[in-house]
Amino acid sequence: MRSRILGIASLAGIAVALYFALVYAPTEQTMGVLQRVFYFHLPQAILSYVAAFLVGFGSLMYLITRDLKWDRFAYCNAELGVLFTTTTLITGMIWGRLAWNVWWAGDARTNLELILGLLYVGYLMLRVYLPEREKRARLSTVFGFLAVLDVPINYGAIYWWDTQHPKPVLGPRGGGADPDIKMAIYVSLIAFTIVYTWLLTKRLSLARLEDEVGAMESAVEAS
Amino acid sequence: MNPGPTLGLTAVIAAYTVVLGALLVFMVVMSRKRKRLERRRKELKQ
Repeated sequence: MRSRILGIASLAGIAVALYFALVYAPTEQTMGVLQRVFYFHLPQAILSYVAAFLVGFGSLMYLITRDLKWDRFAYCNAELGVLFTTTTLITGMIWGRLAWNVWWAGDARTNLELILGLLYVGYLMLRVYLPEREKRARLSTVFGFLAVLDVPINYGAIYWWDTQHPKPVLGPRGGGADPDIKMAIYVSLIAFTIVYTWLLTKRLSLARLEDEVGAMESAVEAS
Repeated sequence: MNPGPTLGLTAVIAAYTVVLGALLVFMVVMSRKRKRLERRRKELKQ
């Protein structure tokens, strides 16, 4: 029931976000229509960071409690991390090709986002090669913590190094933006956060089923 | 750089399609995996 409500809210949220991004928000003066890529790019990037913190939190809780539900929580978020990092990078490349005339700027921000994506992939690959459930959960936490470490460096990269990537427009150190543009950004961010929550709920339910079937298969093999 | 309205709009549509398409693919993969696991659970119970 909760999943169904989240599903409906996600679809409605995306429809509203599309309206705000394509109709409500004014066309930005410098970048023109291309700037509208930003309304989808930014939430993807923020949620790719959120995924890292959730993987780290799940990993830490697993090490403390040794309860496999936290390991499930961590790896479900890692999968969503791959999804959101990929969409961040691709939307960023589409922007970069037209704004800077390069597909890949190769600066600290873009490279660190790629590394974050690779850490998620590494986390998931490691799990494939470890058949023992407990060992798999314990060892993969290392990649979970590395992903958490990547995020603050990735966030700070645009302040610490000379990067092609623009400085943020939101927050206390942001460059500022038209209130309608800010509104479209916030609406899109809320919509994609609901989508993320929905996908996580569905993925967690699937992960429980995976463990249940895995346990049943082990019991059959043992008997 | 402002690439102009036509190219800009093409990029916007491409970017939005990538995001929404990726979400859809993720959903479909999850749904197929669930069906497969439910079938397997049924087999193991019998």
